[in-house]
Amino acid sequence: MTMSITVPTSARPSRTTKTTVSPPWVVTSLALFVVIWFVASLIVGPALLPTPLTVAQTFISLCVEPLAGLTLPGHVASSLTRWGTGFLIAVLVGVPVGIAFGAFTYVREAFTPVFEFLRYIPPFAWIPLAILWMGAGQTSASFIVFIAAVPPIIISTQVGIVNVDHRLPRAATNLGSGRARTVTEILVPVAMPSIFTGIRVAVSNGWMAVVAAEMIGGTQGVGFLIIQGQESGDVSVVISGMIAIGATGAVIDWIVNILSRQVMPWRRSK
Amino acid sequence: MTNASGSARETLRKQEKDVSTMTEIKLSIRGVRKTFHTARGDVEALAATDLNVAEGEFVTIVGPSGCGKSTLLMIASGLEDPTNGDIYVDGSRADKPGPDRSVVFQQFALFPNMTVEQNIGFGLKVRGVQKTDRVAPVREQIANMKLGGFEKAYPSELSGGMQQRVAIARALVLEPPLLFMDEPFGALDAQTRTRMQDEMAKLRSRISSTILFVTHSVEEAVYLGDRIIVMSARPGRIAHEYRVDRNSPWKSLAIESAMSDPEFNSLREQIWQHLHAN
Repeated sequence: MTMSITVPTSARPSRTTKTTVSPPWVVTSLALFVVIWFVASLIVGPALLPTPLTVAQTFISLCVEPLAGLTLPGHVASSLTRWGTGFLIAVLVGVPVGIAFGAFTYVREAFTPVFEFLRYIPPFAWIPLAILWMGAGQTSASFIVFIAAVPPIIISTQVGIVNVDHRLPRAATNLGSGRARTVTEILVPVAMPSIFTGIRVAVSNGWMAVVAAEMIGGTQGVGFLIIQGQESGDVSVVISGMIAIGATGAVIDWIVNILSRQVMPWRRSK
Repeated sequence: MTNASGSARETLRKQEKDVSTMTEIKLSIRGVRKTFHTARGDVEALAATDLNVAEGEFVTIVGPSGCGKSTLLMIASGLEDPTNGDIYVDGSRADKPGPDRSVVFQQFALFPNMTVEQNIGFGLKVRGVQKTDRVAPVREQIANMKLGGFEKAYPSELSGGMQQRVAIARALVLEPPLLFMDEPFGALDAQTRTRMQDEMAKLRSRISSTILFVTHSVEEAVYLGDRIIVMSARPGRIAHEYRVDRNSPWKSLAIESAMSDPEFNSLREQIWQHLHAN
């Protein structure tokens, strides 16, 4: 028996609409997690793993009292800004590039070899370069987010366009539609579920990347906060930061999911 | 305008019309050949084929699968290129596919992201017809095709028969001089299919389009066509041709009743024998 998880793993959008878990299960699942955590902290001792209660207290105090310059929500907001910048640029670049790859064979043939090579370099391997180029700050973290978020958007968009039933552009041509109109009014809307699958993967990839970038070369943000916790040996600060990271990621994913249903009214009725 | 000149003009027009239906060729398929390149060498899907279709004529093409009948239709519509040969519409060479040569596909090919209304109106929108001016023709098609109440529905919410009606409406709204139908009822269940065949016969009397209709159903070909082209396979070519008198009494019957007519049956028998002889 597996719990469904809200992060899509495949580029095929066939089942992304029904991955939400019903409320009673959310409560049961979280409660079970807290219980296991509590038992584990009793076994290994609070120095290595503080109890859920201790972490909750730290979490609350971090929300009011600044640590490393900002409160916990402040750090989250700071990370979100960097994430948002990188992610937005990734969407603005990735979707058109994916459309071009999917709709125009010669574009795909010209750029795919380079793209395939680049996308096997992990985003984290770009961090040193980003710091050398842009310094340890906002810009390089956003850049890392971009690097992490753009490949799934390009790939899913391309796959979505390529997988559109070939009869649809044919029918559009027959009705007098030119290539540009067929792309914008048929191919892209029909590929939208796949595009959104890529965007959802990009959301989580980007969010993970911003935390990693802040951990290595940050001056603020949740990633920077948990590194501060590590340096001061405060496990409950580290765990509080991790909880904030997880919760924020889940919320962003939820928002994107709702947004995707707004954009594709024709998928709602299925 | 006096009565005399009016009736004279009428007579003249009638003559012109008679002459035109006798001689005016709407669509001319000339020496069209199609070869597919495969790993095992070239396959001739369609041998050099000639076919003339008169203005207003309803031509059905029937044949076994692989006889190239759909290929012929796609080439005639401009959606596929022939290996050799040319397509002429109204006497001039036609190259680009377009709404003057409308196609109704077997698998409907409706746009899933658009409502029934939007699907039907798409061709008009492409043509540059303003939104307010699209309402009336779209509404007319919806009424004619018995799609009332489903204007805002998406294709995925419709039955197969309704989807095909939307596809036909989407083509007809453009009042295409030429209408190509590629096994349009092939994907429907038997009952829906029969109903659509009856509706197609009625529709035909309402519209002025010249129609080329591909099917693998002999009954459908006989029932709907003014002329029936029988094709054979390997390579695909026109093997036989039959003309049906448009005024045959069974032509005005529903297909189920028409099928018990002796004339209908003898025609069906003959065509069956050709298909089996292959």
